Amino acid sequence: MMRFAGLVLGPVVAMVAEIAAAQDVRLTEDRLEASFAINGQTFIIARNQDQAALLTGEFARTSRACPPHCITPISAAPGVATVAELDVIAFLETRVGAGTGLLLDSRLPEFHGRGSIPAAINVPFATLQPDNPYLGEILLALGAVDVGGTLNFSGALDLMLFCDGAWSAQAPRAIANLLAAGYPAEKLSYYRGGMQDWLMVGLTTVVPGDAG
Amino acid sequence: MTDASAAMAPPAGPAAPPAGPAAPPRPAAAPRRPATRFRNAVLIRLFTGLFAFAIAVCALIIIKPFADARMQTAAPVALVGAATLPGTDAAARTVADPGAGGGAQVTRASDPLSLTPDEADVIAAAMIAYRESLPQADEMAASPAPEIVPITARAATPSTFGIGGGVPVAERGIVTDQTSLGDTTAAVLAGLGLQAGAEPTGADPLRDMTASALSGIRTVTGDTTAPATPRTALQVLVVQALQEGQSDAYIDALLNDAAAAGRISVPQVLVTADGRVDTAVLLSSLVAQARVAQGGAAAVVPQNVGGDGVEVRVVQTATQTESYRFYTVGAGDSLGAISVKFYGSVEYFGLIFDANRDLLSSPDQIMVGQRLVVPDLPDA
Repeated sequence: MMRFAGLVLGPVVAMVAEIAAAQDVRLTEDRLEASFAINGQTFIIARNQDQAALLTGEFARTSRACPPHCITPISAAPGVATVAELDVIAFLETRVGAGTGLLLDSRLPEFHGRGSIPAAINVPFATLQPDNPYLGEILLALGAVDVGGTLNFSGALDLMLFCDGAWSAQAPRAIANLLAAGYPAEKLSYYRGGMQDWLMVGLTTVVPGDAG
Repeated sequence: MTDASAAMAPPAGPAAPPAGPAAPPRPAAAPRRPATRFRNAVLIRLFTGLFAFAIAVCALIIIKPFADARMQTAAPVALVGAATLPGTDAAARTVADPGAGGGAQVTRASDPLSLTPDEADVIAAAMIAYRESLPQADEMAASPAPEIVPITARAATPSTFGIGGGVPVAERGIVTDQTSLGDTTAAVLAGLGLQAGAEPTGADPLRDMTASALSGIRTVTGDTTAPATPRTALQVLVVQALQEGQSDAYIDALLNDAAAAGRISVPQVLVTADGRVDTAVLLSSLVAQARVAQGGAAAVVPQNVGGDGVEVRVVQTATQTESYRFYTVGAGDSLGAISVKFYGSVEYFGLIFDANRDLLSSPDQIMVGQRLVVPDLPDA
């Protein structure tokens, strides 16, 4: 009789446990979601609660042609930190929220427009190339100060850059061009996993414009 | 061909049996015969074909049917003109410019030695097709016009002219960009708080991307004072200098220093043949645009342009008379300056560029000694 009850109750208990867990895909063990405000706008970053979810579409692709989609090194440049998802969230909460940093999506507008990390600003890698005649305007907007024809970056914003992922060189190129323009390496960091890793762990994305 | 292969076949037949006894199975030798015959036939055809081809190539090398015509067209035009001027006819007279002095060379190319009728027809047809396909001037500045090669038949490879094929400037340090001069002047005028006549119109993906990147950055940094339209480093410098009331000479030195140091990039039309920034054209375009924006008259197309390097050539065919203007690039000339010289405005530089695409890989690749075709303005 006890054996029979065990047979019936076992799956039931397991199901209940599963349902409870399905409501709780956390960022970390002690954290459900991240919430921060930038210029009065509130952003929430959490994970997809559907435990059966699979990556689909463009970011499920494993084998883009290389070149150009080659695997990038762990470091974008000497002195530029490589970071992961929790660092991105912490950067948004502390630096971007405080107005001392910016999270930059280095991809072209078309790709940024399909979905990006909340609060990321689209500064396409092409606009940071030395052949962009308007590059100076961007550097000034990022906080560089023109001192007699040369730019002083001491008050410039901290920047964290990302692109599609480990198979895209757009963020590393943007970082190389920022360094070439004189941006200090210690003010730059590189989220190498990019959109693909962000999606792989089910983190919130926004389609720019929809977020308001 | 078939006769030959048939004649060749019988010897191959008897030749096979002697080999037969040595090689063990007779049936194996039998299928070889048709194969051998077939192979022979193929080889004979092949050799005959190759022989005919070789003869044809030799004939081409010896007779040179194309080179002949080319050399005639490429003969120095000034010489042709000098030789034929005494027998002036109506066609040659039409282009003589009394005010031009010795600089303008009137040449006459109706001489059959200088242009064969066929070639003249090709040129005339190409010119007509070219004119019909001309886009509007402002589109031209932004989008590369369709690849038209109107005057290739003249075969005027520059090296056949005395000056040589253009002297490459050793140090072409100036960085150019895809900004059109019209957009540059519009941005400068807007920066000065003047009426620019129109917003920058030319398609410029980098400007658009930069503008949206800037607005994104500024929503976070909260900077709302900056202008929405980004300005190039060149535009910023010019606005600043004009606000300070600097002289033309100062601005010339300022921009050339900045360009030489790689701090600014400039529109391609402003690059001179000796690798400098043509600030005169930039400044005069600013004035012209400001004048038009304030309701003033547009620039007038100058008549009978003459002077150093200008050359007019008349082509008379059985059906029509066409005149062509040429201009030999001198030091200090930019494509913009040549456009001003012939058309009164820099905005038609695209006409000259398109007509000389065989010489100019881009509008800033203009070199001293290049002999450029200067097409007539299309009738408005």
